[in-house]
Amino acid sequence: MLPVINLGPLSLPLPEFSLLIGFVAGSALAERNSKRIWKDSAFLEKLLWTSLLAGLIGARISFFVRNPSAFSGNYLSLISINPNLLDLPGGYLIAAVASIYLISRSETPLLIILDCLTPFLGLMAGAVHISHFASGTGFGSPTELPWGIFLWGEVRHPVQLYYLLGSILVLVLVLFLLSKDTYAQGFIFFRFSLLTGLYLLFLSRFQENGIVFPGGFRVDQIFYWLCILISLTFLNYYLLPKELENSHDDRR
Amino acid sequence: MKSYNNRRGLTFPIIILVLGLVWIWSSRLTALQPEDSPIEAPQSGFNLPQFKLITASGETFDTSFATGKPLIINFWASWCPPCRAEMPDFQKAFQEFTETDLVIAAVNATNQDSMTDVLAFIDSNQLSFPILLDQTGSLTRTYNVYSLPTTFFIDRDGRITKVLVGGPIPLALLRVEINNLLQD
Repeated sequence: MLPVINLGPLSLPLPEFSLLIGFVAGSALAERNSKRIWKDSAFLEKLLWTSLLAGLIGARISFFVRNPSAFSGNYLSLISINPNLLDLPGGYLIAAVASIYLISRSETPLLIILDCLTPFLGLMAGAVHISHFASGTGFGSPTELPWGIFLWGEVRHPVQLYYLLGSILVLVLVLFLLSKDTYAQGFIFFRFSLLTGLYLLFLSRFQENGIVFPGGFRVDQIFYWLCILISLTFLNYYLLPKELENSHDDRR
Repeated sequence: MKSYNNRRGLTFPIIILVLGLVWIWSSRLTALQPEDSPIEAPQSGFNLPQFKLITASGETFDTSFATGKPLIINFWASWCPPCRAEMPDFQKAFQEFTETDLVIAAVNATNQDSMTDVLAFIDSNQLSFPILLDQTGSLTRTYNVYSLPTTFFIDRDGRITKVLVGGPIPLALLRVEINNLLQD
């Protein structure tokens, strides 16, 4: 693990820094790749940054609402840059509301927007795995394999690196598909979610911590399986049966 | 026009879904509850690595003294700006929760600090909780402290519930985390 990078007097928190880099690079990648299929690709960057800002503000407000007495006599903390003063579920909710509002006001079909967002999602997935590796969270189960890493008292699967490799492979495939001329709207996104669900479902077995249902069933694996089910349903029943057509004329 | 075979289209998805269920079923055999791990490690979910250190007032602080009590361990140095910024808030929190069984201990990275500056800082901020002296740096290494300040929150069972790298930690956040520890 490497939680900080010391650059002279500066200490950069690598987990948070990798997420920031992933966001910036992901939004640039998504906008660049979407220009071929969507004339209003600038909306993509607006959507992402507005959602991020709304999410951060929402997370701070949500934290305050849940812990008002903690700020008693210390209201200056409301504008603290400390990221631990954020309520993530509240932030995600506000970001989702902001996104839905912006998308509803756009005339572009949702499936096209999802296709264009896919490179961003792929790059952010990799950034999250790097963040986990840097902070030592989401660590692997014990192993005797030669490539195991010593972490938290045992030699463990470098599962964060397994995930990172999976996300890179999926991202490369997504970018390849985006370079093709013909595919149905939503095909890229649901193919991405299918492949992502598959590698996460497979590799999560080698991750140690996590929430389990009674009986030892991993909650994360069930969630990934449901994502696979939904993706397969859309791909098989709504997208693949359609005649593959040149989508340039339809999108522009 | 590309034709689509419905029968072939159903087989592959069904195989994937069934294999997925089998994988989930087989994975449950290896699922390990984090709470079952007896390992001591400086990471959330693990037991606190036990230690003994001399304090700035010449006493011995032993983590076993805090058994059954919520504990906060903060690593700091007098030359570290965010450490200096947050220490008054630690003192305020210590005073606010003095009626509880909360234990706060600040571990000074003495091997990379000046005792004169440390004592002057303690005096100027009137710190009344234990200030431990890590004179060899061994505890800093044991706790994988890569950056100062780093703060560990430990529950009554001796399990680390949260690790905060960096600072300064606002008083509001300290209050929230302390209340979480006291509620457990």
